[in-house]
Amino acid sequence: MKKQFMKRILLISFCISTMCLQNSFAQQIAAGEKIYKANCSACHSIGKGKIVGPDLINVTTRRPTQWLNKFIRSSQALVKSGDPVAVKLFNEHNKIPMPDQTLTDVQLKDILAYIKSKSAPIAPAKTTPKPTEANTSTKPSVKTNTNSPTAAKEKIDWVDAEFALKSYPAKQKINAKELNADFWSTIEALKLPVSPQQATYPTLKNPSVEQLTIKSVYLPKEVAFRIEWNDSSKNNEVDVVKFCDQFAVQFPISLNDIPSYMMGNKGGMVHIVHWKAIWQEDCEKGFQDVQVKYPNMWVDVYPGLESYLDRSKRIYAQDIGAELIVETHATGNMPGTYSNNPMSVIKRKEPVEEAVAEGFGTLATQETQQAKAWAEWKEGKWTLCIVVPVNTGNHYKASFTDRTKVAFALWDGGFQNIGGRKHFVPWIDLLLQK
Amino acid sequence: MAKVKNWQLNREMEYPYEEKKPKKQITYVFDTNKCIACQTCTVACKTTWAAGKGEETIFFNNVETKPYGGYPQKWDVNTLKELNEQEWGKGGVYKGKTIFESESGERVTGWRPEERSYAFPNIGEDEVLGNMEKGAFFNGIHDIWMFYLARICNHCSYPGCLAACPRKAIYKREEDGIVLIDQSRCRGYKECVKACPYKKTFFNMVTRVSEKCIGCYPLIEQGEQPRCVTSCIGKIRLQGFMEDAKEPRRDSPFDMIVRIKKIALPLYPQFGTQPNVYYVPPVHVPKDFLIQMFGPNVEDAITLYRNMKDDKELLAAFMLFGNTPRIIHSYKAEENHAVGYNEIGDEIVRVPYVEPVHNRPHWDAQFQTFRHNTP
Repeated sequence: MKKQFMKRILLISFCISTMCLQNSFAQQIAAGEKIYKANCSACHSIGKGKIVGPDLINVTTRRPTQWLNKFIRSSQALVKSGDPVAVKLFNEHNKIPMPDQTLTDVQLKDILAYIKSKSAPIAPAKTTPKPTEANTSTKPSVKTNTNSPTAAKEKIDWVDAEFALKSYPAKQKINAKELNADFWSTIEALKLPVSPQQATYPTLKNPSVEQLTIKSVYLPKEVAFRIEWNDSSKNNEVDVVKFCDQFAVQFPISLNDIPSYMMGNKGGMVHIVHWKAIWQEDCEKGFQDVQVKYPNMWVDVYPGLESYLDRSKRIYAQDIGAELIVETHATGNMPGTYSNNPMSVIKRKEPVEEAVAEGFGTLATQETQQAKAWAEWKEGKWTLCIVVPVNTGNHYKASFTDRTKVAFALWDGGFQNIGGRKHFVPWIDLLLQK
Repeated sequence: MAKVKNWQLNREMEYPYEEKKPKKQITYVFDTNKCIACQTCTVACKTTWAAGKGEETIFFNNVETKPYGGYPQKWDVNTLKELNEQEWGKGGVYKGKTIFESESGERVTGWRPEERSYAFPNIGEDEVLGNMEKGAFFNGIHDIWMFYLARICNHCSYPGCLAACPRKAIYKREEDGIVLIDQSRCRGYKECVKACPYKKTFFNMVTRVSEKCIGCYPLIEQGEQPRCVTSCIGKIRLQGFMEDAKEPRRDSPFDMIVRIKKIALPLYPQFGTQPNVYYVPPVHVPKDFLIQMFGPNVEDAITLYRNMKDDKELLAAFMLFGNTPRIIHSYKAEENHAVGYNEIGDEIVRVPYVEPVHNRPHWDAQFQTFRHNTP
């Protein structure tokens, strides 16, 4: 009897204290969510498995708060000090150091509160106010896909992003090459800040682009983006020390479980459409062959291609182009092309490539290439149109009804941006307008 | 970063991946004292592997003249500059920073060569260090010096290229430690070109992906030594395998040369990649230069080399160079011959320490012709 009574008292007092704390706690969680999304979500999930770093579910009960604070501020300092848990974690996660976070004590508390809320079986996060109230009125309510045969699709965990891009129905077929078609001037533009990638090696230390301006229209099976950004140099040359300007659009393949905006995560695949200025040059002016770039070059012979030489017509080895080699299937001495590497395509039809990824370093070219793009550099500015195939039934491509997430990456070739050395925009909401 | 053991530095060092030794490690020994820079190795390699479109300026194998030459230009001094002044401590322990330990904010410290850096594969050829003094004459010892340095991919135990590749398109084969770039997986980020301190990964501007020396693995798989080794007319090269996890074997020419006698030394061991091409240092070059290039054991190696004629066990190992295309797994110093054996212990080569002298008559009666005896 006594025991039961004590239990009841404890329970009641717990409830009262929880209720009192509810409000400030909710605010804390909301603040924590913002910081978490900006700084942590690229590498960590809460309850959805390992991305780059460990799953943070129940981390607040697994480790002491003081330890967590130290680790978040400088994981490497803790590793170097020989802390066994830190060292073990570091080793278990491929020795990718977690970047140091310069956060105040309050911010740290907020983040941990947020993680705790997402870990708890009864999540107080449900009472969390929307992060940006100004936006909420313009956003449509969450719609679950009722056409879906799977029950899993009902449980969409949609969290509004800081930015929302409205896509408007296109009234005609979208031609990527018509960068300045009249209809684009009627579409509302969104300015998005871009950040340098520093979550994984190799990193971009200094950003050279601050923002991009983006517009979008859509058709039932495609979404088009018109993107503009300032870039003082047009970089479209193939060279060992030169890098080209590039841009990529990324969609989650499924909305059930929104993957990391950093190229997805294991089990959370993303659909990427990637434009490169070298491909643009290939499509505009033909393949950037050796003799095109170095017109005074000389080569004695390319083995296996001797039969194409004709001294009487002044055709020497250097006149044999890569296109001819591909046509005659004599690619034995071009290992990349011979191995069907998608980078080594000599006759490119579009300056863009469709790929999938599920984490850093996993980018893979898709079998069906349907995306289209065109770009123009003028007076220190790139204007690019990318048309992304969606809802095609291909399960490696994005499908959604009226809203999805979209993220962007941008490479400034003039500043040696390549691979992970890039600028990015994390998930924003893409809202298809009626 | 993991802690790995680098025996060339006599200490542990940081590396992005855990230590994982191949079953056996491809190893080469080059005797710089015998190289005449004829470039036969360069041509053999070029015509076999790098003769295609986009490979015009790519040489997996090259021979350069030190101190001025370098392909690509300044490949070594640029990396040394990146690392800045470093120090060897007592007992051959490297006290400085490797390319994996520098605080450059990059996973691997490196630099990017320009297209033009590859334009002069033999720049500085035969150029000596310094000028001849007015009135100087040859008195038996050269005051000024140069030497030839033959270079290929070092198939490092801790490759910089592999560490830098964000796509893990570079791998080290478990069976023989050969480092390869997956030609279908590479996306041409050129991180390896930046990271390799020996600058032995190359960007192909036509296929737009990177390539490197493949250690002639199709030959290796047949039990034969690579093209650059077997084509060497100066017989300066020997290729085989080492297993540095095991105790050195006295019947392995590589363990004998590299680990027991330490007469052949790694090239720029301070970079930290634990390269697997070992060089007998040139005997006539100032020590400071050699220590910078081959580490602190240079003087001992040179003394040993000068006295090799008295050390039959070591001499026998050197006799095997360039005398068989097959890979030698073990050897024996017999009374008059050095004998090499293959993996299963069959004799594959027998070389006399002293070549027999044949005196032929000036007049050859059979072919009705005069003959010259060229020594």
